[in-house]
Amino acid sequence: MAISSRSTHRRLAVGSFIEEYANRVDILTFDEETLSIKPDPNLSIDHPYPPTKLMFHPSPKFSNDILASSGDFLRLYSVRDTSIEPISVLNNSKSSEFCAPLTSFDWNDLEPRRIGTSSIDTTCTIWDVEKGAVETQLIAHDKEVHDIAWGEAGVFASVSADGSVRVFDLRDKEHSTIIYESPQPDTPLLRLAWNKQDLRYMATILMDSNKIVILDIRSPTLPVAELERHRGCVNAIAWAPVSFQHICSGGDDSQALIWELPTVAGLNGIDPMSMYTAGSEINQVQWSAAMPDWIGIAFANKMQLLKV
Amino acid sequence: MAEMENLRRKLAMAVKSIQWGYAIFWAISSTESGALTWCDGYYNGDIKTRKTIQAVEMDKEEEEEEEEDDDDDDDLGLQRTEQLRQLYESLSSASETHHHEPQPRRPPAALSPEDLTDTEWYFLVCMTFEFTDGQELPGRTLAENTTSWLSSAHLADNKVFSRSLLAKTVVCFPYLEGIVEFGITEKVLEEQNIIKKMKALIFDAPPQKVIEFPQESCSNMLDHHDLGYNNLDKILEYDQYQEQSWQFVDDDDDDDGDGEGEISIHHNNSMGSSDCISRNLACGHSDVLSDDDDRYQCVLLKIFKNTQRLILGPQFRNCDLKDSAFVSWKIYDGIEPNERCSQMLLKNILYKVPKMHENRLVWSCDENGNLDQMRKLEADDVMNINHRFSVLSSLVPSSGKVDKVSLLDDTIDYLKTLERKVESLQSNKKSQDVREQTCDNYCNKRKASCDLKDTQEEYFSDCITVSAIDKDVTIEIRCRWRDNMMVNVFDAMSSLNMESHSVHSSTVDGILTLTIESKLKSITASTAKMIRQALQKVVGGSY
Repeated sequence: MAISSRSTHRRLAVGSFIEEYANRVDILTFDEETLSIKPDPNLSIDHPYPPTKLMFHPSPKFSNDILASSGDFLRLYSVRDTSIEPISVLNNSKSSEFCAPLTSFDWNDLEPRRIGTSSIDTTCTIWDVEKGAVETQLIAHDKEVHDIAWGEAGVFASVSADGSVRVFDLRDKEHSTIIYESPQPDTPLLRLAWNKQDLRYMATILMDSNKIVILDIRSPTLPVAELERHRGCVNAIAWAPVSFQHICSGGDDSQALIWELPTVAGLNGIDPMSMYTAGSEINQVQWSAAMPDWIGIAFANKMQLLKV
Repeated sequence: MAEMENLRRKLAMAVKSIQWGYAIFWAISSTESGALTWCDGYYNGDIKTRKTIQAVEMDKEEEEEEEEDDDDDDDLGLQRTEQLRQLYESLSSASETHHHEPQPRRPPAALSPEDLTDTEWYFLVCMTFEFTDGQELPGRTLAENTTSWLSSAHLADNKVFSRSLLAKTVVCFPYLEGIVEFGITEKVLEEQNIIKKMKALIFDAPPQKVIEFPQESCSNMLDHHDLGYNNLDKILEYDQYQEQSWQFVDDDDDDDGDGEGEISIHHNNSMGSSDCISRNLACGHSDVLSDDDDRYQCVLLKIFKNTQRLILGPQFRNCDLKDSAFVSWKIYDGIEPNERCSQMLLKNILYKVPKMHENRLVWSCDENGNLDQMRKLEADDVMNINHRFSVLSSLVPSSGKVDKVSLLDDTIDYLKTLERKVESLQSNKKSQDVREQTCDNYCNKRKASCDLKDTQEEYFSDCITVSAIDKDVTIEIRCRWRDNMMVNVFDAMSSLNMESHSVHSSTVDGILTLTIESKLKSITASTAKMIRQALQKVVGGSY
């Protein structure tokens, strides 16, 4: 249940979540003129177990879209007009034909040959997908790494079950900077989103918490804001692609909230600007630069595009 | 520059004196020969709000108000026109800048697109037009060097007048290096007086104070209803709220139904009033549609695409959200979250899915990594298990959720209810059993002794208890003693294929108590109930 998109084709990829081997990834075409979403039976492919994340190539040079998925391996697919074909299965383990399962990945949009994956074996792997080779593998955390996000071409951050957000610079692989640690030790951090419009800010969510923690990398350890108007746990966050101070979140309370970060926070915390109520728990939120006017949300077995 | 200023003042005076909506000066283009492009104009129509963003402007306005009261209206109008021009420039330049650039916090223009009335939009859209030689009304006027009066512009042929949006009467005449155009949203029949008045003010006249007309002001002009089919009110309908939603259910035969499913779009018309205008145009003149419509779509799209970003800026809070699928946030009206499954999917993705992969790895390593075979085996396994899950789900009343955890929860709940039911039924049954045991009473027949209370009072009752465990049957009989009773009981037992191996009997006060332990010879023989019935017959019937 993830959505991604690309500028020209307005394609969306949705993955199923079924607790068994046979899962699928479907490609849908969204027509902004006629406001219709069409599935294409040809553009559908089996996926072993549910994909933990789906993402399209941020700036494809070729005529075909490239879709990546994470799970047991990092997999790349070529999405053509009439078919979807696997390109490669990337395995970072030299010793075995299996690699530790991946929890997430992020495609570097400034350096599109780079993909960073996060794994339950405490490491992050940086891939050169053009060569299909591992660029580097770092032990990033003390526990499972849950998510990874690129800031610059060579800078990424990751969150982990150990409750920390760490920033890594590929020029100095020996060191990382902890910019946040969850208040109760070892409360896992689940997802991370880096504000692409203003790289000072990133947002993360905690396990069993209704909070969205906004971090400023200039003031480590102390969050600049905590957004706590969700009535249930938060499941997904996405920064606005064209505005530096807006973020959208979706939670177990079935609500998608758009927040505007004020320059000065009030005493009573920050209220969201607007909201949308879905039919059940919102599991995914996507707000893509390719379609800044639309927010995609996924709940139960539905995917909706919401006009912003 | 001074000349331009002068021209605008002239236009202003002229249009105000005749109380029309706007005046535009189309100048002959310096770059493209024979083409007419927007040079200057004066807007004299409806204004939604005088609110502007730049505080400086306000100050200036106030000063001027103090200084020259008479000129007040004139200056405001000129200012408004200038602001509209600025807005147009900021919008069209913004459209050329790169999408990813951070948005300036304040738009350069004093007006924001939300503040415009529809006639102002019309005025703004006019700025995008240009005409080649002989094309349309301004071009033709230039070519023929005459004055043209078009009194039903909204119905006119596309070739004559393509901006058939709001203006119903348009007048053009040549002036200096271009064409002056006047327009109004009402239908006005050709009148030489008006033309004279226009020309008089444009051609001679040094700038002078405007003659004020005390009657209804021009800004009211939109209140005039034209009762024709092109009702202005309808066009100006601003609060149109359209939600379009498509839903489809995936055709794919999805076993679990939770893989993929419904997809829908929520879209509230983003075009606002202007889209309505072109749509209205479309119904009015189906033959005019084509490229003309495209042009508006194009212009409006360009403008609205940019305003989208402005809306997301600081003004977002102020503007109403009618274009959005989102509504203003209020304290709470959502669904109470289910504590049990908080962040369920996310946790499953982060914790369960990796385990699934790991399990598979362990399995396949055991099998010397014959992955394909393992996958197949596992897939079969999963199929089998899934089949059973689906059978289970058909048996258990569901709470609506489709995933396996919920199904198991439902099953647990269901079993618990069933257990309770069994318990309550059993306790009912017990009391009934007591009744049955006592039903063959000496003095009373069955019906009379049905009440438990009665039977407790009746001391002399036959009690027959039969309990069977596998083949072992224990029989207890308590009844009034009589001759041949024991023989009859044993006869009955042997006829039921039973073999007794221990018998205790005692008689106290003429009441026989008999305990027999026996074995059934074959399982096919009678159940405890049948045995009891048979014995009952012996004990009761022989009396």
